[in-house]
Amino acid sequence: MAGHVAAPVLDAASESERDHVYKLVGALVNPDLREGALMELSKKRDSFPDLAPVLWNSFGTMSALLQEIIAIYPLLSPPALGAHASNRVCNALALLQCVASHQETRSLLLHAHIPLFLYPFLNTVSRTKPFEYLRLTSLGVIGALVKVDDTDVITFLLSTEIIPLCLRIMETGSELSKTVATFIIQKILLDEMGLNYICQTAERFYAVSAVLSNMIEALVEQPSVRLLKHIVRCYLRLSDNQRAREALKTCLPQQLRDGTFNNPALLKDDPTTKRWLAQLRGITDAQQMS
Amino acid sequence: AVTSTTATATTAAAGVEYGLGSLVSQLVVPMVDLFTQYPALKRFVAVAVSTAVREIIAPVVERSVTIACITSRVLVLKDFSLEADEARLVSAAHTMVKSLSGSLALVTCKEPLRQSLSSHLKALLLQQVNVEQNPSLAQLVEVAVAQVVQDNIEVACKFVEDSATEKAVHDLDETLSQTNRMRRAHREKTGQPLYDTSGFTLGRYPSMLPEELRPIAAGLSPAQLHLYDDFAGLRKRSEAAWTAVGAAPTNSK
Repeated sequence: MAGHVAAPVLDAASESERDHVYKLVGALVNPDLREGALMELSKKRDSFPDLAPVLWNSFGTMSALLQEIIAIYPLLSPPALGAHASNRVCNALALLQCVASHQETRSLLLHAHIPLFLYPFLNTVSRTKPFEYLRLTSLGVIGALVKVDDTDVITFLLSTEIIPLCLRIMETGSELSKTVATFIIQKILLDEMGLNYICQTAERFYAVSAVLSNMIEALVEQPSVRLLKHIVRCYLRLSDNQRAREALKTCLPQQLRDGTFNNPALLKDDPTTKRWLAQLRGITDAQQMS
Repeated sequence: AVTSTTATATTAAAGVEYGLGSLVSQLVVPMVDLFTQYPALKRFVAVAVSTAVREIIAPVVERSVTIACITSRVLVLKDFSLEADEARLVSAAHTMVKSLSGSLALVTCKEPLRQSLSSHLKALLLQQVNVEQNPSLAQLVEVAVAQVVQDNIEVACKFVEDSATEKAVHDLDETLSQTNRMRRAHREKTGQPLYDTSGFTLGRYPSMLPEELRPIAAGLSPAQLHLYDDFAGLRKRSEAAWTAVGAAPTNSK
């Protein structure tokens, strides 16, 4: 009975919520109201599950988000991105991430090639906070695309320069950016086509393994369990390729063989990574014996 | 004073010319010591700029135009699916594709062009002067290269940008021409506009949206049409706005 009474109340609440979201989406076509609407809407991502299809299907919204993106291109080089401009575009990117995450809109976003407009952001090298935040948020959009295993996404990404862009961020980014960039590489590798692509030439394989190895080295000084987890998973997946497995025999970092990361305090709460690490050691040990 | 030379002509054979002559005529040769002492070296400014532009322009234009055309086509056809007047569709598509292709081309070419121009000009000039005999010339070359880059990078980038926007409009028109022919033929035959309702059959949206948020057969509102006009002059406005809030570009090296 309680449910019977509660239901209309809930509907009424969500209806007013819906109207509010519609109003904000409508405000996006107006350049004067857009900044405020972007900020409000980026907070609605979790509370309004239909936000992605509403954004995609409403008139002009995707075009308005693109305007926000290209409007800050002139601030990338020479680097002149301030906190205000960065926050504003990151709110727009948060909405794109929402569209990238949603089952109904992911492939539409991809087919419109919209993620490519974020690559100039990933290509920046300035270490200031506004740039770090911009790169991290842009990686978040790509991360949302690869999160669900979808071979269309991998096909699309492999036809672009995302791998070198991620590799550079894995070398030079903040811990959080490195983690998301490594996650993207991991998801590409987990796809059969992605693994073949990266292992197809020695040049590609060594470009990836060199970056992974540098990150392991850096982790000895500054441990990060979540980053270690993604790196180990990448190595383990590479070992599924026969030639890569052979190459790992010589280029798997010593720290992954000698128990540097077996520190119980470090991996105590992470049995998965512990198991992967053991698996990885098993593979290289077996090879050394044979 | 700057003319195209035999050097330009020989390297030109490598690829598409892109009407580089118009760019060469706009170049600035700065009054730096090196060029005052050795006026004959001035001609290498044009050689270096042409070489640098030629080196990067084809892939930059190709990539920017391809992406901009796909994005513009998808979004404009979606937003103008129920617009009866195809002239409006075409006009919005043009404004958008120019802005997207030009922005992408510019942001992609700026750094590579700067680096390529520096290294080509430096190499050319060092071939001409005898630094071993006169070590102070090395410094003069450095100064000249830096000044030439600073004075000409914008016009060189603009040239790449314009090449991209021009090709983008042309390419997009080609892909839209069939849609537009169908729309016109349908109207002439039936007296009714042809609507593309395919987007409405897939899911709850856009049908579920209130009318003011979605395409409707009665036509788009002025505010909606204005959004696409906003693509024109977007960069100028945003530069002005960000400069106003204190994010003026710094001349960091």
